[in-house]
Formats: sequence, structure tokens, C-alpha cells
Amino acid sequence: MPRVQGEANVTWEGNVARGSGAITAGTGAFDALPYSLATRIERAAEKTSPEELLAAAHAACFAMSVASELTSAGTPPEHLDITATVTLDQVEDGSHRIVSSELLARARVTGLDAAGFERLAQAASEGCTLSKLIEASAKVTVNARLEGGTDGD
Amino acid sequence: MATDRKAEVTWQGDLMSGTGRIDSVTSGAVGGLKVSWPARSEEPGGMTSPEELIAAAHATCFSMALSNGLAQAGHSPEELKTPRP
Repeated sequence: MPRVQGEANVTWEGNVARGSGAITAGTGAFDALPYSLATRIERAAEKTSPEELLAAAHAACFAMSVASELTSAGTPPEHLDITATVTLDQVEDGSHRIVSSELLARARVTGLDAAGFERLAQAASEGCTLSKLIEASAKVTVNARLEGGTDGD
Repeated sequence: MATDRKAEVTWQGDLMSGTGRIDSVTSGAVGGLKVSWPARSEEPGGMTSPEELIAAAHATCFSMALSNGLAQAGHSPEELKTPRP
């Protein structure tokens, strides 16, 4: 794999409690997305946050890993729906930490059973660079569900 | 109190030739952002990537922490800015 770099630029005005910032992607994919502390920990109110951007990074990374695992297994996906939910919580010493990222993969795949998909989804998280990064200090969980099958839970 | 933030991505096809899309996030601040493996590993062509999104997550988190640290040292910032290359 080549060396990959991502870059983002922010501006922040005012103090941490009442100030606000804006974030712009190096690629230009998004521009001046607003964020603030109040919307980070309370209602999101159309402003993004570090945890939301991490969830987006993790979901995008995991989607690519699942597609790769399924293709390597000879059962490329027709369609994948991936959700990542990142949780920020107060820990014992009173500080805030990202404590978990919960992944859910739902897939339409021909020629694969539920147990096989669960195994491949688990392997996909193990191969996902963002799962590796998050696992250094938080818990990553993987849930996998085939769509259109009879295993629907 | 725990805070949850969610992102939803759809993906069509295999890794090398398929494409994905960040359809929605909790806040609604972004939607419809495309991703692909060639864009992630070679030329982005205006597409975001996991690495760019984590750079964005880190920059937003750090700016709040820096603002807080400066304020506690008695020097509340008027503006913090990362220079454009």
C-alpha cells in the first residue's frame, strides 16, 4: 500500500465554551463545516464534531475492508450498508475519552451464509487501519447482518 | 454523560473498482461524500478518505483543546488558524 496522507484545515474563534470553528478538507471534498464544543457534547444541531468525523473515517475505512474481504473470498458484495457509532464518555479520572466505536455491516451478497459473513466482517475490522488506531485506546465491536436472508435478527 | 455520533456509508462493488458514499452523519453537517480506493491511495480527485476525515477529527479536537489550554494560561485566543499550504 502506498503512503497516504490526509489533511484538513481549521479555524477557531473565541473561547472553548462559547466559541466555534470551521473545518475544510485538503481535497476540497468539504468546506467550512461548522463545529463547537456545545454541539460536540449535547445536541449536534447540524454541526459536526471530532467524534462524528472519526465515525465517518471508521465507516469509510471498514466499508473498503469488507469489500476487500468479500472479494478475496470469491463473493464480492452487491451492496454494503455500514454504520459506525463512536461514543465519547467520561471515564474514572473525570476526563472525557472516546470509549468505543461500534461497527454494523449489512450486506447483499450471493453465495455466502450468515456465519461466513460474520467471520469475514470480523477479519475486515482486523485489517482496517482505523480499527487498529481506535483499538489502541477504545473498544471496537463488529456486528454483521446479511440482507434478504432468513437469519434476520 | 455519554455522547454518540454516527456515520452511515454505502458501498457498491469490489475494493478496486467499487465506490462508497458517506450518506449521512448524526448532525447532518455532511452527506453524499464519495470515497474510493484509487482516490484514497492515489489521486484524490476531490474525494475525501478515511485519512482526511481523521485529520479533520484530530484538527477539530486539537483546536478546542488548544483554545482551552490558552484560556487557562490567561491568554484566550481571538482566533486559531492552520495555515493553508
